Amino acid sequence: MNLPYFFKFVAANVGAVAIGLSLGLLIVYATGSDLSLAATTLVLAPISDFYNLAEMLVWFTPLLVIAQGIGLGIRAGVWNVGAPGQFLLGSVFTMIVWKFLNPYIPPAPLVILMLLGGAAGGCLWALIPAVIRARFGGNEIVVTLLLNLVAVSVLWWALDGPIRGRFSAGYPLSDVIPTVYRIPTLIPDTRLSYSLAISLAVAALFYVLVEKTHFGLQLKAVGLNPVAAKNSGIKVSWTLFRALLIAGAAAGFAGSLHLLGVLYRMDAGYAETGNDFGYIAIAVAMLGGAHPLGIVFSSIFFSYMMIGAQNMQRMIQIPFPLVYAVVGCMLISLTLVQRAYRRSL
Amino acid sequence: MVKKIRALSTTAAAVVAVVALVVGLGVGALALGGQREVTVTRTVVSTVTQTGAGVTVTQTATVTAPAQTPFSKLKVLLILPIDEKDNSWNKAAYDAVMKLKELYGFELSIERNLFDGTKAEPYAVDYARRGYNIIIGQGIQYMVMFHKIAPQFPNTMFLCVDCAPSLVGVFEPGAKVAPNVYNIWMTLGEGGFLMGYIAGKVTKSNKIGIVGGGRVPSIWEGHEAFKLGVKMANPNAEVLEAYMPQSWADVAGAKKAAQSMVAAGADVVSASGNGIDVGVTEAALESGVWTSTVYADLPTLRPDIQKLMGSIVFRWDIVFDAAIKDYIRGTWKNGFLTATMASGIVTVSLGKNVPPEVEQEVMNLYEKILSGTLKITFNYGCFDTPDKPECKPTAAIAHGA
Repeated sequence: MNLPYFFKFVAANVGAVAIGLSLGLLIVYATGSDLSLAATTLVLAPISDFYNLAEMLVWFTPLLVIAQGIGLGIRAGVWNVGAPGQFLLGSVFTMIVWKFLNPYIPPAPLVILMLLGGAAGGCLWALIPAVIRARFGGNEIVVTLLLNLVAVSVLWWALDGPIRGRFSAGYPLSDVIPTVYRIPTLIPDTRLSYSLAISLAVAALFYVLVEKTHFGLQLKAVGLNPVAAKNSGIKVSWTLFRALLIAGAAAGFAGSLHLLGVLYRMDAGYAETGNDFGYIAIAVAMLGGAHPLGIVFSSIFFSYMMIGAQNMQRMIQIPFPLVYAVVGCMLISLTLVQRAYRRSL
Repeated sequence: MVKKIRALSTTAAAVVAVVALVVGLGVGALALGGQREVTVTRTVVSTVTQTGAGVTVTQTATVTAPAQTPFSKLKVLLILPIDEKDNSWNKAAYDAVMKLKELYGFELSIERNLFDGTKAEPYAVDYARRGYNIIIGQGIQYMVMFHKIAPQFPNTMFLCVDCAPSLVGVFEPGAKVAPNVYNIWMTLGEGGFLMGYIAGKVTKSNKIGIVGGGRVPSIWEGHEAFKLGVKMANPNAEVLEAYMPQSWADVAGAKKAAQSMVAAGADVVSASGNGIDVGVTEAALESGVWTSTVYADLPTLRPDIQKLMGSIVFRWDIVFDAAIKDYIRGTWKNGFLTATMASGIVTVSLGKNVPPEVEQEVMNLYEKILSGTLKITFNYGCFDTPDKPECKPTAAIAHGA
């Protein structure tokens, strides 16, 4: 590893974050809020309190898993913007597996089946853009993005059909998954569960897959130069196809983890949950340089920011969209600084 | 050299872009800032000058209002599923807490657009941890979540509107009822009956539509009583009924349902709450038919609507006030209230163009309900089997009309 390059890269990113943060806080200041309170809450709230720390890791878990999949795609040169939809489909499949198999299979193996079902759901949803990309050369960004909207309709249909709860009081609600099928809680009285450990294992798996295997090498070759890769005998379409499927499976698996570890039930607002994680994960993967290790750090950073921003919003009672404005400022300055820095190399 | 200049210009472009963005966002934020609520501690300075017997006495008193009371020390959070712009469910709750805040001077926070209990959970927990005493969840969707987190905060009162302790186990089998959740149940039957009566009187085509959200007991009661009111006012009128099982916020679906009723000849379309109201009101305005809503006082909020029969108004401030007083007294554990007309919580607000003779009749019925001479009961067996002959045309029964 080229160390001076690495330090410069880190310094540039830290600088970008600082600029973005100041700009974001400037916007908060413009609303007439208490700036020092806003800044201290934003920076200190996630680490000053046990519950917030746990909430941060609740965000970290799905972000890490989804971003690993997206990062793998970026390495191969395909952009999976469909993580929100795959997340939803993964969760719906998890629920379906539970609903239809729980009378026949004991809890422990069923939980594993549910997690696999989630991955399968995401994988299936990614199959459509994967086929279109690999077979017909269509644009995977457009297809994955638009399929997110379709996935929301699928969710609503499912909530009114196969996974509708027995008593939902007119709300589109699923049943609550009973305790024995849940991933156990890690810290009592918080929402943090052992899915954190599972997500770290997934990250390790991705590290091995991308950095240590033949497939990973093919991926990177295709991403760097598809023509050269093709001439050296790599099946480019097949590689892209698999990359998209893996990205979809990761997003679906994240949905499964979130459902079994945190929420335990699905409702119409689940679509929003999928959007929250799925779109931010793209930024996470970009900030992490699409490297499995980098993504671990950028996931920590983004979950830290989100919890800080949410606390800030509650503390100074600003409209919620401003939170996204703060995070957005940071993202824009990151992208610009990264780009300017790379050009200047 | 060229490379350096290019790099420099990229950086410059980046900086310019960021600055432009910030200026734009800043202007937007300033515009937003104009709408924000600002808490002001009022300082009243009164100077009294008395002149008598050649002596001038000047007294100056400075009063900082509101005074420190057990009420003003409270911290209250209101969780809304949508926001107060719906002129219905959310608006009624918003107005209630604002009124009580004015009265008691407690600290108030409002979190909007938390439609689902799962989404609202971190918010409720965060506020409870920060020492908020009273957390109001406006809707049954927060019930399971409240009963789950309440044991962690034994001194916090979770006020759950449209909830009942007996429903907790139905929603989540095996869930425990927490004593520090204050449940409020409500009945839509009496108000629905009066609205149905007006509808039966104002209809010319003898076809009346009613659109509701989910088919839950409270809404079902409202619909059945509405049909009873129609039948009493006008035995020849027919009622077209629709529920929107997808979502309470299904504005487009409700509008479509109301429009199809108008197309089928209805000249009255009533709504029973939440986003359903918005869709039905829109459809009624466009087609020029009579309409009515639930929860907020629409005749006051929208005086421009001509063909408005009225609204069933819920005075949540009375309920919240009772719960807050119970909290101060320390008698709030396992609190349970039912919002009815007799308790003054449910009232009816009539539209300005309701014919005076109809208004007189409705007010007579209203008084009968208040005095207890008119009671409306329901054949609850019909909830699961609406197609039985004894459930037609309505499962509601009037006693003493």
